[in-house]
Amino acid sequence: MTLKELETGKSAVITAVGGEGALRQHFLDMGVIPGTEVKLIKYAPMGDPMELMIHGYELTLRLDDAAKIDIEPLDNTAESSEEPKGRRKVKHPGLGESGIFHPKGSGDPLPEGTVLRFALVGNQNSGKTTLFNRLTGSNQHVGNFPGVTVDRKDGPIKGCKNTIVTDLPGIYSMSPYTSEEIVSRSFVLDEKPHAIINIVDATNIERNLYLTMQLLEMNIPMVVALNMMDELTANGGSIEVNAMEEMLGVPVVPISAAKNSGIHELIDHALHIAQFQERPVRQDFCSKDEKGGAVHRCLHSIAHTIEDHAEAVGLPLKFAASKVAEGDPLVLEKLALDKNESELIEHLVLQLESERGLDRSAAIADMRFHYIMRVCRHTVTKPRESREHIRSRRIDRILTGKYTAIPAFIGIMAAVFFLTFNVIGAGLQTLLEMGVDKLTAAVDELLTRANIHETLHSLIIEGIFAGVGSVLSFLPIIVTLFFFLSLLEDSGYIARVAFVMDKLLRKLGLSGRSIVPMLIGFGCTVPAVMSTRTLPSERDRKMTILLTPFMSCTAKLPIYSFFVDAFFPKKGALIMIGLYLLGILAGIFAAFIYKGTLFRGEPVPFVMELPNYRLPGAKNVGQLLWEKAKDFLTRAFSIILIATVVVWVLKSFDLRFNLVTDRQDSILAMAAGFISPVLIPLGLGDWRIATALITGFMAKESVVSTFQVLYPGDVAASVTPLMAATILVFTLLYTPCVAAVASVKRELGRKWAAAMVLWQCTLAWLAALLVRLFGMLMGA
Amino acid sequence: MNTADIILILLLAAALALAVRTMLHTRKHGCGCNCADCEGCAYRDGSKKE
Repeated sequence: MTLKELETGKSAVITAVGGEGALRQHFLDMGVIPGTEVKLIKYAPMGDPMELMIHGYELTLRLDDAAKIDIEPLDNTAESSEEPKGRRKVKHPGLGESGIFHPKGSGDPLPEGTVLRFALVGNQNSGKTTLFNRLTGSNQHVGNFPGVTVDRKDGPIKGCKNTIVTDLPGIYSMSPYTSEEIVSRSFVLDEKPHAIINIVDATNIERNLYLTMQLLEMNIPMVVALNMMDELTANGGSIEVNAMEEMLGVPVVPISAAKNSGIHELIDHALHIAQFQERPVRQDFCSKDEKGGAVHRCLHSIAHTIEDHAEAVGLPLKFAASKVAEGDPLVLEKLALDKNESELIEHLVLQLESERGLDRSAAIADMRFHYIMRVCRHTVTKPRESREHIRSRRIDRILTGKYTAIPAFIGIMAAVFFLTFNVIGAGLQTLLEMGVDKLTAAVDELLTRANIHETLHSLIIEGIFAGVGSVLSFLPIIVTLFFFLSLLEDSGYIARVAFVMDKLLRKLGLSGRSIVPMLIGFGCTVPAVMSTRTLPSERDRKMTILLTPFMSCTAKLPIYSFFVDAFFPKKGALIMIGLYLLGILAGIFAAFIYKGTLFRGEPVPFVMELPNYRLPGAKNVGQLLWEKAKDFLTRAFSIILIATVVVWVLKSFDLRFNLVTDRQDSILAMAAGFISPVLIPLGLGDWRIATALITGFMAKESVVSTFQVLYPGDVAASVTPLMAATILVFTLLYTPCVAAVASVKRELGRKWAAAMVLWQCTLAWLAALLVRLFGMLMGA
Repeated sequence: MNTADIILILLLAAALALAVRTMLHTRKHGCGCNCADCEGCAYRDGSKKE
């Protein structure tokens, strides 16, 4: 029987884990190993993926992946309840404390004044960024969605000169499965920090310690920070810290990063082990007494075989040995073993597999989890179900319920967009527009009084104030949208949306996580593109970025309103909805093309942890809003200011830099003249239309203002309804604005950004041509 | 062209120079993480790009 066939609420024991490659290794690293008990919580509303309880945490898994895992059903009446065994009081080992671990002066201290470099490593959503902020006093954004930290961040420990802490992306193991894992692993191996601060979520300790085991093998001084101890003890759990410290062989410090407790003790230990280079007491977790000792014999034999190679390339021996046993391609390549050595190792591994009845990766993962279980049995009293988890279960009955999830999602998103674009954001936007208008009028008057040259006057008022001012007016909408999205993310709801929508998006070649940027894309493409950073694979990220411009952004609304009011006043709502749907359909069409060409293959498996719902912190939300506002303002007064001045120059001067009286003589009109032939088949050969579309590249709203300037009086007198319909479809699909292209360039590079602009324009041209041909057939 | 024009031109030139400088800085350190010494972009995919 496979895990796919398990009924909701039933438990089973895993007997075999199928699949291959990095994905299988990821399953094993997440604790999905033979012999582990698993319980099916529920299926997503569309029947896929499933939510499981394993090692005390909730994991999502697609049915296709679950079909690769064999299970033996368990009788639910006999709930396994492991009581702590062999507890004994352990004297505090005093690791990482001055003069206790080793006699003073006998260590291997770094020279005075060395800048101590720390790597902050831990699982996703274990509170790393909160701890980083506590340690460094900085204000990095903290989320309640696995994978908030997608870049590394550096900062000195507050009050400690000569220290640098690097906050690495959250990872589950040191296997090269995701790009984050590779980043973190490369950092630890290549940049050789003086010490590791390993943050461990005490409420989810079994899975968290798996990474700890691998970090210990790296033989770098390390301190374990047991985070969320307050939550654990509040729910009746406890950890024998002394015993755990003794069993792990590194200092263990209980902390609560959120409540700022235990941080000073953690810093003291971290500074001490780094300064005196106190390495882990043990890096060897296999035992000759464990299940026949096959893993023990295999790992030690490999270690002896590769010792010279590991030393030559500077890899920690135990880490290298276990990775070689697992068949890690990056480590094998780095070691450059001889043919004989490779064959010898292959035989050792075959012997291991034959003796253990498990394949190499499963056997190594089993060895690690076996040790973890031993540590937990001796040191951890599991808490009763936490209040946070009970609350999450209740909320999830509605938000991920079979019949309520989709309506709840639609309702919540509708409320967010309504409040952003109609109530709060729009209200604030009107206020800001009034402010900008008043300031423009005041400056205009001042310039007139000062008798400023009319060219300069025009540059400042018609160029800078009109251009930057119109963009600035979008600040409230962007900040308000981010406010709501930050509430959704911090509360833990976004992770549920990804869970609910995964099946639908998989048909397009994406994973559930891609829904978030798509939704933001309806607001503005710039933050949508930025938000793709939380996606775990480069393939999904690139594909999602290329799809977000198809979600019609709010800056296009003025264009729709302008043409609908002028040409189709009676069918306004129908055409507006039709345009939004057309954008989505074009996105789906593009997704199918991408899936079959540029991004072949499957989306990354949806193996994601569902965090408990939490109340968003006011400070965290406020800080995010400030950062977004600052980022937007910086852009408005840099790239948009420059672009505005350039457009003004192009539309005000001819090629000899004489001020033009007729805009048709301007450089912009001449440039538009080059482009207008391309638009002739669409019936849009007028240079003024080309000019409006070019200015739309700077900011979509400019299309309307340019039409108003270039078609004084009634636009309907010069443009037919069919031309209007063609322009609407073209503007819906053609290149996103320069700010969005710049953000795509920032995320993917110049070539991708240029290719996207060309592709969107081509698609828009084809769609507009279809509209024109259809209209002509209908006799319009 | 009067004195006010010249002052205004100088002010505009300074503003544009600052804008270009900011744009170039954002291009170099543009991952949005807002930290003092950002290397985020360079490390995102595991390899230094810059």
